[in-house]
Amino acid sequence: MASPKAKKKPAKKQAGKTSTTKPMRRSWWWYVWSLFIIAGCAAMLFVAGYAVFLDGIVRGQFEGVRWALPAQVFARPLDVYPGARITSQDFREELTRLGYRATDSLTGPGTYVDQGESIRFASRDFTFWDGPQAGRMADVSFSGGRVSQIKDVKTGTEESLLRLDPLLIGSIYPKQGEDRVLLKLDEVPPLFSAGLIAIEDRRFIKHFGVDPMSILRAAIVNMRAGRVVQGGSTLTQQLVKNFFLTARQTLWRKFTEAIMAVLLEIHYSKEEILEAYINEVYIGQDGNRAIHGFGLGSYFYFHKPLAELQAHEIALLVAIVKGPSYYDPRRHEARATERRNLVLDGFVENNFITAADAEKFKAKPLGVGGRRGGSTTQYPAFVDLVRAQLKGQYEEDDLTNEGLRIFTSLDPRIQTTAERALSDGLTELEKKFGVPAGKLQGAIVVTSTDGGEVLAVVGARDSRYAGFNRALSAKRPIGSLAKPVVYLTALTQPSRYDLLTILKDEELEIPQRDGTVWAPQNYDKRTRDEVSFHDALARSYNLPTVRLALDVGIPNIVNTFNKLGFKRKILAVPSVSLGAVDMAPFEVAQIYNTLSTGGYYSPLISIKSVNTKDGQPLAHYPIRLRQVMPEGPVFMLNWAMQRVMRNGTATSAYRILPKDLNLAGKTGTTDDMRDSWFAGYSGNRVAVVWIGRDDNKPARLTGSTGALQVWAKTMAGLHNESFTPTVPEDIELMPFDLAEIEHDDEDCDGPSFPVPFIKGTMNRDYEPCEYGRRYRNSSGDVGSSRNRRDDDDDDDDDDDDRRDDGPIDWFWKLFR
Amino acid sequence: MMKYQEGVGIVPAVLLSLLLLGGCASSTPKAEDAPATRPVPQTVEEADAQDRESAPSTLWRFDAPRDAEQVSSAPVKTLIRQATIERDAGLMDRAAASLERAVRIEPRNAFVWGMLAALRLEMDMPREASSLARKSNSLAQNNPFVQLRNWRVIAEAEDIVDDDADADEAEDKVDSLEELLGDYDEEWWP
Repeated sequence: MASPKAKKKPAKKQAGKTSTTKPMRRSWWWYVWSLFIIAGCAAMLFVAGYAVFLDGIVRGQFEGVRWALPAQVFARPLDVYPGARITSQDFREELTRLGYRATDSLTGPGTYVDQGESIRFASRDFTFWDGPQAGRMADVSFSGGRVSQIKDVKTGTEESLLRLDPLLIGSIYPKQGEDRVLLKLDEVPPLFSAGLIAIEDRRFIKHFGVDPMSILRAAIVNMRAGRVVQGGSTLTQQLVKNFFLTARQTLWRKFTEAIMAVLLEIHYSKEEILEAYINEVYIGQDGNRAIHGFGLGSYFYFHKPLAELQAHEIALLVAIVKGPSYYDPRRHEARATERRNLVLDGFVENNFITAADAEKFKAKPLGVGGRRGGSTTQYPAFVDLVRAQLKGQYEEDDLTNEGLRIFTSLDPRIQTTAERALSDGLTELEKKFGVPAGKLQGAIVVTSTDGGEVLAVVGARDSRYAGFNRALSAKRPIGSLAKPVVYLTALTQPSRYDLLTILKDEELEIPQRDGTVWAPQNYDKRTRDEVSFHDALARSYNLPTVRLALDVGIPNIVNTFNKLGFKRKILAVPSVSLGAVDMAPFEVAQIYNTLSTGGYYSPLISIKSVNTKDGQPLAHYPIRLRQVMPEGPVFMLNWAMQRVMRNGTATSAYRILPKDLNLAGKTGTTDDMRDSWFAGYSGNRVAVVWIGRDDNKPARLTGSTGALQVWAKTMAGLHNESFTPTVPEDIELMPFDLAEIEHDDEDCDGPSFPVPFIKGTMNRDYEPCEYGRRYRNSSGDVGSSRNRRDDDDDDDDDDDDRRDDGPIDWFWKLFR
Repeated sequence: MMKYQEGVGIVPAVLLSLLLLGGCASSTPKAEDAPATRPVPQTVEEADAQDRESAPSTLWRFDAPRDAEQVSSAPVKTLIRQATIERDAGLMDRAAASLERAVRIEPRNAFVWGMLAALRLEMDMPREASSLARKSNSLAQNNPFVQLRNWRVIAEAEDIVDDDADADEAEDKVDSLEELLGDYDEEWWP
């Protein structure tokens, strides 16, 4: 700091000088004027400084945001070929999902002509993971629930295979929730850009970012009206507002907006600004997700690309920009229609369309599809899985910025079927079992048996709810779903166990490490002295299972769990045999998928391939499989698991599913009926269903009364193949009367039934029946004579109420 | 008690299959494999090993199809042809993807799995190749033409991953099948 002394010196000097000149008294206005000039200079300096500061922001942000592009996630493309199990209705629904428009004659890509059992369509150009594929025009005919013929419209030749463009099911966008589908200006229909400029900012081409004329005009209009009825913002200002600013209407914000708009115009061309506007402007809201840009907006409202919109649809999008919430066409149809028609009038004034056309378009409904978005909200549970499986392979930034194209295995038709089965099923179950409405929750995972592709994931009753994903994250005890693993472990010791081995059904007490005693019981709290191996599994008896588990060794069972694909650690305690291990439905699906393929483990995958935004392949995820269990024992287990369906705890599935469809599966119920599980498969589909409550209170459902019903409903909506595994080389089949428990003195009075054995290991005391002996050919009406109960489930049968084996031709059919 | 009654309800095809697959129905199990005379295995691995001791003999079908064209549907044939073109052009990933598309259409077509296995071997993925070939074998059990080609793939793949036991087993299979089939020397990919 300068000392007071030092300060005095110049003051003296100055005083001396002034004393020599003519004394003058300045006028007050000299001071005002100086003050004014100084303030003006300061203000200019400040504005200049602020502009420089804003310039940095504008350029940085514009360059950055312009290229930030979420990864796009696609469903599987539908393969169409003669013989494919696709009904005309399936095909119609697929086209509708893809946003194809029904017309009287093909007018361009994305249109189709519905002729009942024959559909003519024009597909879109699409860059698949293996390269671009040009759009085609083809006639597809259907008969008997299958595609019967495909003909190229132009050449008239028959085609053996066509592929539709896949459904865009979502984007992987940053956490703050902005989503967009980027468009280049030349991909935007001319009517759209011209219409947008005409309605929103007619002097766009001429002004320098701000338009004083239009501000003046708006001010006059607003003053006359006494409220704000017109805005004077240019497209550039609106873009700035979207880019950088909050929605608060303050004078300061207006000022900043104007400066930034001018700066943008200085740095970038009109074309660049318009392109950025089209990709950036806020156009709607879908839950947490803000819909930005017309590319995504078009999918969000119409389920199809902007290029395929008709004039009235373009007019609606232009109309919505003014106030996406106020003019929300889904919530305020009348308001949106009125504004759309105003925009159409604007199109006529500018000679974009004729007045006659405008009238035709005005008569059309808004054409807005149901709220399913073109994006993540549609299948949040599946996209969750995709995200999880991509994790660690790509940086978060790459996923949200680089516009990667991710091709997945999701089958939208199966997904929809599973979603409906769960939400309808839970409502029914709540009514039937007196559970308070809305309390039950559930999850479903559907995979393809061979290749282990994930076809559908339902994570909640309200499948659009992108919250807790029970399919992946709800880890619950699996109950009797563990039993097949116990029985399989035993069957891998063929010299000790086969399907006819007699197991003891007697109580037992197991001392625990903590000093307590574990005394498991059967579900019906009864014992039967002796039961056969296959029956103990089919009827889900607990006591024989625990005894068997102790005999084969708990560590061996844990080992089998791991081999089948369960990755986490399991505590090797006896209660594991009754499912005291927590798993998510997805983890269960992995285990059962390995069982369904005869012991070949394929890691369940949702992603098929990842490409750059230019279509270059980055990574392909091939079908992987590894034989983890010998085929023979798995075949024997699957034989027993088919008996679960035909004779055991899951017979009620056949009230919903066709009786000639072979299925294998297992019910699971946990203590106090907190969890209801079913896991099972046909020849081509594995499905796992869990039902329970988020508060973990009893769901009052067994595996059979709850999850099995939803499972059967799900399966009924799929195109299932019958489960007929190939008989492994080391398996031989011997006929036995399964109504008996002991087989050393077979009288063969009842129907005989082929039982698989590992060759050469059948207990030599067994006496099989002769083939052909009293083989009963039935119509396939399984158990019609049987006294079945609604609440049959794990362990609910009496041993004196031996069910007959029903028709046995289903099994013989395996060998035809 | 074993009784025999003729002509009751069994379809001849079933009998034939059973004869082919399961051996003779009237044969009784061999005494030496009876549980009482064998040591009780303590682990799954021991049990596995015991299983291998009683290697079953296969009943080959010499009238079995030799070529994918004989059994595949039109779209699968198209995809196989496409895969062949792609492989010839060195586009291995694409060729594999075309075959995987074929697998989705016909998941039980042993030929497609076998071709995929051989392709993976060419792509330097021996573990995948071996598993895929085994999968193909399990779908084409009595088809010696498919099995020979698959065992060749397995033998080479296991040799690459240094699994001597599995490689030897595969070599034995190749030898016995070659002996059986004489001059049959078709490969998955010519």
